[in-house]
Amino acid sequence: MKKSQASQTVSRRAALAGLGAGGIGVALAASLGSAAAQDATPYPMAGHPAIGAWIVDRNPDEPSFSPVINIYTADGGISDPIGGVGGAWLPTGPRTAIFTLLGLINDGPPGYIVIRGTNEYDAAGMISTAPYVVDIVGPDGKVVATMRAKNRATRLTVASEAEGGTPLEGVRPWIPATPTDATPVS
Amino acid sequence: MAATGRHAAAQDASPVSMAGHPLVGAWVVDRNPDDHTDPPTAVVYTADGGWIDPVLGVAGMWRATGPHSAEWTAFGLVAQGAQGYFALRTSAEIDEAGQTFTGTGTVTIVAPDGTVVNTIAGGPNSHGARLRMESVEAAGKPFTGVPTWEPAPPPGGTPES
Repeated sequence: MKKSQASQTVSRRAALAGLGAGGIGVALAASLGSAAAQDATPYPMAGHPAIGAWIVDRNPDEPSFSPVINIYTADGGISDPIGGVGGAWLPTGPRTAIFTLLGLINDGPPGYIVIRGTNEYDAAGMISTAPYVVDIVGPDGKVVATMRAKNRATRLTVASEAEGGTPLEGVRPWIPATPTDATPVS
Repeated sequence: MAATGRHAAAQDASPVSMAGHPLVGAWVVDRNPDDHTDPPTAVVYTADGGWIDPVLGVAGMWRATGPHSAEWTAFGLVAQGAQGYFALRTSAEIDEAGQTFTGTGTVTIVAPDGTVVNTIAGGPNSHGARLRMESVEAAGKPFTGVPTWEPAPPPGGTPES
């Protein structure tokens, strides 16, 4: 497997397009989780359907969006190493949870993004949908843009080697956006 | 319901307990010990089945298949999604001391339209070394378990004349 190193911050274009996350990682997720989640929730986190890995389609209505993957840990953390985003989740019911994610913006005017949403899980615990809000905040603390969207996530399950050669279930095909600099000038 | 979702991901699918499994923890992984240009990466295996590689930006799930064995599936983008994604499906054996593992598996590359472009199977084994806590007194020394490598020259770095 060869792969270039992923950026640890979020592209501004992705953020403006309604990114599902931003990227701090496990440490932030863990700290937020212990402070905000376990002490504050009347619903147990243990056994909650949020726990696990989710292939997240950030906006099913946007065909150019590639998916990301979110790991929800049993102690309230969220890590998205693809999007370079971290955060925390909190159960609000047996099949609902709220989440908050934070990521830095790495191109254009600097700043960060905050994504706040509410996940609802199907009865089988295999599909989740979430309306969410993305706020882009400048280094001075001022909110410069707010977007709303709705995502759809599919649980990633462990497959055996025998399934090699097949696409992953739950990954929606997408049409990569044409790079901005690929457009002829004349 | 809560149980259903979690079970689907990890625990009910595995006849072996994940609690106390030797794979739980952080590992320095040499993805291909036969390729000396390949830098290592770091993977965190959480006790609830999460698989996180923040170095390469890949994530997935793992499950125990035995007291000293496990398998995992992970997902990552190729060229930030412009060229699709890859699915990593691996099984591994962990040594008795729980300090190293050897893995083998497949990498399937899928185009954005869902077409399988390539599958790499049966390649060299990956090798993992448990990432151990080191005190501040270890400053100035290389990190334990990290293999050395020889970075490949950049594609445009070779003079043409």
